Amino acid sequence: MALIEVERLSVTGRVADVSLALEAGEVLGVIGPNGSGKSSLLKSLAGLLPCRGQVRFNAAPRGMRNLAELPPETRARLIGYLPQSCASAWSLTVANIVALGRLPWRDGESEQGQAAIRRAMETMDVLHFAGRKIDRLSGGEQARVWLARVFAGAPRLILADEPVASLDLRFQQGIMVALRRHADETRAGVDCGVILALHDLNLAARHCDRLCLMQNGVIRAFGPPEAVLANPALPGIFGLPLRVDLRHDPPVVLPA
Amino acid sequence: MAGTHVTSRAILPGLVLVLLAVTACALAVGASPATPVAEGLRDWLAGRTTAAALVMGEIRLPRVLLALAVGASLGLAGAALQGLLRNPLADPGLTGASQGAALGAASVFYFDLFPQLGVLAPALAGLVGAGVTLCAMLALAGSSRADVVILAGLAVSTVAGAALATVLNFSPNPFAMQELVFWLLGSVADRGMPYLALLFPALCLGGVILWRQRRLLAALGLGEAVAESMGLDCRRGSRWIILGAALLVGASVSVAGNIGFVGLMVPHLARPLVSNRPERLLLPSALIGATLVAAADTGVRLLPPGRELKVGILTSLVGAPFFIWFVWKERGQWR
Repeated sequence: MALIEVERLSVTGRVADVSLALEAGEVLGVIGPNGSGKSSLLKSLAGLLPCRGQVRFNAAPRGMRNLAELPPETRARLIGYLPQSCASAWSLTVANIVALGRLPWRDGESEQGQAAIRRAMETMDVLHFAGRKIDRLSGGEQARVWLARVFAGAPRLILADEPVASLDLRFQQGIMVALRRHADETRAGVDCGVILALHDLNLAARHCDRLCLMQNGVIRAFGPPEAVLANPALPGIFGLPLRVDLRHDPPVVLPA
Repeated sequence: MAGTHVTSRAILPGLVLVLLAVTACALAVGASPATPVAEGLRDWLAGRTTAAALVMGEIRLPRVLLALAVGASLGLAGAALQGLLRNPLADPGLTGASQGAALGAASVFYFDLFPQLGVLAPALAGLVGAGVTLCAMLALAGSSRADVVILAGLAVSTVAGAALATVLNFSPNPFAMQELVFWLLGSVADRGMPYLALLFPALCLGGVILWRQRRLLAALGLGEAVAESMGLDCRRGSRWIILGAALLVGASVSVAGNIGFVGLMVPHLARPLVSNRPERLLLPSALIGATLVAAADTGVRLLPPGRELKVGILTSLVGAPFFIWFVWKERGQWR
């Protein structure tokens, strides 16, 4: 079943008439050049941008499946949002940052909340530096903490805006695997999914089930990575000649 | 994490103990040192009119309670505003409320407004002034974005400051001007219980308003987008925080004039005690602020008799070096 169905979603000046559906268990990669509307699409799905159109979120309780009618706190429990750049104004410990993920549940101090926080830290492998201050960590370590904060809220849908930008290969892999595992929870009976904006087309081809190619706020191609990357419009959209090796599995995209 | 829980639980009782100790000292210090504190308080409560009861009930107790309430208000307001603006250098005066309160009170001295209110007139006019500047600031800022709020507060403060200077310039007589200047310097002396009756409700109301925004303060540390995505209404919550802080600052400036640096300094002292968590900063900041102002006022009273040093000047004299040290430390981080 579709986890989220987007119909003719528009954000003035940024996104126009976007329709797509994310199946439960799926990782959907949104690709496209800078300014193509990827971030705006994720933000409007997270409820941060006013938008027109219909968004049906099927993991929500009956009667509240229209995203616009979902109370903000319920929405926050179901949808986790990881912004493009994260920072903490205060020098908090890793454990305290991850604990903020429980704010929508109001149970950060309870046993249940503590268990969720601990699980999230284990998943992202940050438990061994839980007591360290966030500003003393490397960029890669910080990225894991920010994602652990999202995991602590145990959301059904994760919206991640370029979660691997500026990370080295190992950290990129760690983040992508963690997001994949989140979508895979669907097999355990809880419908989950991930939508992420990505700049690295090879990473997108490797880790996403389907891709959504955007340009100027409009979807130009949607489907399995092989199909989207084989789209003849791809070089024109990115504004440079590309060589796409489809014999490779997953496909490889390089500037020609 | 268990360790931090134990220490954070011990912090509040510890701060309360320090506060009680300072309060006891403050009650014991005064112009007539032989006054027995406990006996005086007992007599005052029992309604007996002994000399000790008069000294305690009419002079020292109101003064100490006022110092505590002013300190708590400024500490709370500072902690909340620094959390909202995510800026450790934000001073409660940034809302424009303190300049507005000063202007309101100055107008009373100048135009002799509300004569029927007697000594309370400057304080009430101060509250009105704080309210007006606050509304002007919120209207000018329009949104809750931290940088716009700071700019709007600065603009409104500047206007109120210019108006205040004008009032001083055209002061009708030198005595009114002197009275006004001394009032502005900040003091809790010779105020009496009616002032406390004005400040205490403001402290309770402002405190409750800020206390209800703890979750927003916690989430805002990660930015407005994250806070919104966690289901919090930043716009509305920010307005409540500004309102609560302005109420606290406006009320305390109205009754005690400018007591500088407390709102700026206190959250920095409290932060290490709560692992820098903005939502846990409120109560410790209130307690430390109360302790500091009561201690400073006791210090003022311990100075040799003669012309009394205003407590607002003492806190500024102590606070300014702290501020310089803070800038120095920040500079070191960026080197």
